[in-house]
Order: sequence, then C-alpha cells, then structure tokens
Amino acid sequence: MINLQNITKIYRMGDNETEVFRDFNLFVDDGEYVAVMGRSGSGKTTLLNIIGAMDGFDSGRYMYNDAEVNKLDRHGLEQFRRNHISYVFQNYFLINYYSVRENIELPLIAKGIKRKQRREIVEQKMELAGISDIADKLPAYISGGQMQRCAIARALASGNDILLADEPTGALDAHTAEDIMNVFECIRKEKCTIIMVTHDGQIAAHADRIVNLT
Amino acid sequence: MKFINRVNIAMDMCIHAKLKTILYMIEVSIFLALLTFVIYVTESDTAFSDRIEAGLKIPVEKLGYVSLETADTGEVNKQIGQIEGISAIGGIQCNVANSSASFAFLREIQGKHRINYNKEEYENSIETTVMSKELWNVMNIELKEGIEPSEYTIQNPDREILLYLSEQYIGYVNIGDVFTDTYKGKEIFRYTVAGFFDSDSTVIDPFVFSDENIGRYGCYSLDYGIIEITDTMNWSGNFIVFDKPYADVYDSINNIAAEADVHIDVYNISDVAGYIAMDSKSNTFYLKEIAAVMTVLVILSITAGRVYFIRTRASDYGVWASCGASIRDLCRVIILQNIITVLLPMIFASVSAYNVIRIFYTDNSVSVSLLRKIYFSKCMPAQLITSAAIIVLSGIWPINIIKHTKLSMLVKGKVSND
Repeated sequence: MINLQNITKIYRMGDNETEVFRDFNLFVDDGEYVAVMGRSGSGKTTLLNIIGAMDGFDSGRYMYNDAEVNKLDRHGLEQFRRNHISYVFQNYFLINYYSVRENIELPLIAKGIKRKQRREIVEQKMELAGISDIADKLPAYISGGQMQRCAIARALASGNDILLADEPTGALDAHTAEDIMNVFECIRKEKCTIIMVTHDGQIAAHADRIVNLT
Repeated sequence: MKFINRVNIAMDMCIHAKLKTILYMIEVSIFLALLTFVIYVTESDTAFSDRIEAGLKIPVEKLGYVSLETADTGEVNKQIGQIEGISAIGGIQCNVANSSASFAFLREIQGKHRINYNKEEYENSIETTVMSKELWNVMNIELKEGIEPSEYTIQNPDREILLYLSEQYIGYVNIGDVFTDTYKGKEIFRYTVAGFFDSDSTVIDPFVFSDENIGRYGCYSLDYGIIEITDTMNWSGNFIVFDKPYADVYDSINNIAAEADVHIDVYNISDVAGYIAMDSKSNTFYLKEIAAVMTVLVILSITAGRVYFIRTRASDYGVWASCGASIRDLCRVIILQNIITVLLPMIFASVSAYNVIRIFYTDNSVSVSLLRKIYFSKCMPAQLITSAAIIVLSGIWPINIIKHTKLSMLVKGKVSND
C-alpha cells in the first residue's frame, strides 16, 4: 500500500522556483494497476521518482505499508528501492555491452543472489516477456519492442512488489505498444502493484484506475 | 552486492572502455617505470655507505685511512700499526695491470666478464687487486678452497706474492701452482696460488676517500678477480681498522706525525661516505622534485580521465543503482576500476624497470645486490605507495560526483552536484 499525504515538491533553479505539487495525495492499494496521465510538465515523472525514492520532496508524508519512507536515511532508501521498487523507463536504459540475459540479471546481482538461482529466475522472466530467443543478443541488435520487453523482464526479475513504468510505450509504435501492454497484463497476475505514466489514453485504459495530474 | 560481482562489474566497465583503459594503463606503466628509475638513480648515487659496506666484513665506522708523505713509509706504518686500538693496517689497490707473461692464459677467462672488453688493451696485462695481508679479514672475501693468508708465511717479502683467485678459475689453475716473472733470466717475482675465493667477494674502493668525484664506486666486485697478497708495509696510503674512538686514534697518529716530522692525513671512512652521499644527494635533488611533480601530474590526469569516464558512462552507474545497487557498491566499483587500471601496470612497470636496470645498469655482483637492495627497500614501496595514492586520490572526485548526483539524473546519464 502506497500512501502519499500532502506532498509538496518545488524545483529550484537559482532564484526561480517551480512548484510541481502542493498538498498532493495519492493512495495505491497492493496489486493495483494505476495509470498516471497529464500534460507535459505536470509532474508525472516527478511523481514516479518520488514513489521510487529516487527523488525527495519538500513536505508531506510518504507511507509504504507501515513505514514512513521520507524518514529513511540514504541506506534505508537504498534498501527500500532494492527490496520494493522496479523501474521500466521509456528509453529502456539497458547496458549496451551486456546481453539481454545479462541485463535481466542485474537486479539479482545487486541483491547478491547466487548464480544458479539467478539463471533460473532470468529464464523464467525471459519466457514471461517472450524474449527467450534473443537471450544472448546485445541491445544494439534487437528492436525497440524487444528492448522494452527486456527492461520489463529485468524489472520483474527483481521480484519487487512495485513496478514503476515511465512512458513504457512512448518510443514504440502502436502495435508493439499493445504487445507491451499484454506483457503488463501478465505481470498483474504476479500480484505486482503497477504505476505507469503515459500520455496515451488507450494505453492508460489498461489500468484499473487513471490518475490525472493537472 | 558480493565482492566478486563488484570486481566483474569493474572489469566489464574497463573492458568496454577498452581504449581509455589501455591509455590509462600505458600512462601509469610509463609513469611508474620512470619513477622507479628516478628512485634507483637517486638512491644508488647516495647509497654510498651501503656500497662501501658491501666491500667490508667490518662496520664502516671502524675503518679509517692514513696517507703519508715520507720516503720511509714502512717505518711510519709500522708505528701506526702499533697504536693501541688499531687492529689492522694495510693497503689495497684495485685495477692493477699486471703484465706477468705467465698469466697469459688467465686473461681470456677474466676478459669474459668485461662489458667493454678491449682485447688490445688487455693483450699484455691482467687486472689484479694488490692487497696487504692484514686486510684479508677486513674485506668481504670468503675463501672457498686453500690456505688463509694469515696461515701462510711469506719467505721473501720482496719477491714472493700469494695469489688468490676467484672460483671462476678453478679447473684452470691449482692450489700450489707457481708463476714466475723473470727479467734477463733472473726471477724477479714469484706468485704462489694459495686459494680460491667465492666469486661474490668484494673489496673496498681504495679511492673512496679521494676528493676527486670520479672513479669512486664504493667497492669492487671480484667475480673474476685475482688478488695478490703482499707482506710489505711500504704503502703511502693505508686503511686502518680501529677499535677505539676515532678521536683517540686521530690524536695518536698525529703524535707519530709530529715525532717523525712527516705529514699524515687521516680520514674517517664513515664521515667520507656521509659527505659523498650528501654531495650526491644535492646533485640528484632535482630528480626527486621531478618525481614529485610527475606523481601529481599523473594523479591529476588519471583523475581527469576517471571523471570523464564517469560522466560519459553515468547512465551505467544509474542503471545499476536503479536495479538496487547501493551508492557504496558503485563507489567500490569505481575504486576497483582504479585498482584494475593501476595494478596491472604496476606489476608490468615493476618487472620491466627491474630488468631494464639489471641489464643496462649493473655489470657485477655488487651492483646487482645493490640494485636488489634499493629495489626492494625503496623502489617497490614507492611504487606501492604511489599506486595506492593514484587509486585513492583519482577516485575521490568521481565518487563525489556519484554521491552527489540524484539517482533520477544518474539513470538518464546526467551528473550534477545538485
């Protein structure tokens, strides 16, 4: 359960201040699939960054189950991210000198999981994302859709309970985007909370709920 | 994250940035090799006591030198030798060109160890070391076979000379062999082979006290050496071994000089060694300054390289962080990258610098042992300390960048100090 209470976030650049949120509230239940929409600059990505503990905020409370995330120190935030948060980015952010298989392995290495167990998990997630046939290819030799599937498989491999997706279909054509959404449907079955930022109403329609940022 | 995984990540990053890594490695190798060379040159010039002691069995503090200006050196030397506290007195001369015809077949053997052997120059003579009997136990000579000079009574001090040869001559000459120099059918010198000494033996440089700045080596290697032992006291310059404080010995010698009305110069060899070392140090001071500047420049350039690398590969660190790697893990990866970049060049530079110096700057067992001593006591620690400094100092800035960049920025490949 994610509970953001009265969140205020201000970006400061020298003397200029840009207020992104003031007293913003959001509640996301476990296993819920939420789409976040809004115009450019409305704070969609900022919201994901706050939920993913990649960015802080000026005031308010961020509760995850019983834990107050905003009170965690750097080490606590790192642990929170490692154990609960997975990311899927618009630009995939795969490491270009690692194969698909190795990219999916990254969160498992970060968690210190043993090689044999890593291999089993990676195989399973590649199958789920439908990319077993390109396991040994480098990102440079696969399509955008395949790269996004790889990024999703990597997010799933961590076994974390919150998946944050920032425009996961933003760089893909409509047909491929629909394929990716099907993968997300499969993920729901794994009882994962999904918060997805998108511009596309059709993509957002796959979610249980749409949050509009104005 | 496990250590082995951090090592693998660092290795992968280095391998992926092959060109940059190779350039760093070449830079570090060249720098460390030059640093080693500078330290060796500086230290070998100033390690004068070490080189003198390499030729001695006794501590250098017990060694002095007296120089006489008189026709009757024998008598004055005898009086000096009788001073209480002086346990030995004797002369030594190295690189003596002995033109004894009977040594002809030994010239070829001796010629083998000369680096710049000039056949014509040594056609008619052989290089020997002439030494008083009393200095045998003072110099760093180990008898392998034969009779100690002290056990041998020289019957005719004017003509009879004991010959001690390096073990390299075993098989060519036997103990008891006699060589004679004759002039117009009359025997003028008789050389009797009394033994063979260890080829690692060394003797002190007799010019060590000299004010001339050339020709001082500290000691001479006898790896192919020949020693002529004489019983004569007619040397105008003698080493003395004293057991009493130098000041007492100095006063006693001056008393003899006053009584005999002769001029005697007395030198304390450890003072001479200290003076020469200080003199050499001032000559090589700029080398240490160059080494210090080089170290700073290399650390700066490697730091700049690392920062550039972090800036261009920030996204990789960001991806790792978004996958759960902690900032501490990333910092350790940076340090491991530095270790990889520095460790291999350090090993390479260490081995290659040692061998280059060994091949081009050593020509006998003394210089090799001096090289080993300087290399392991000075060069290696300097390399290790400098490498550690490079690893740590060139990691500070990049680590600072990673620590102060928001993860949301890092993952996009941007770094900032926000």
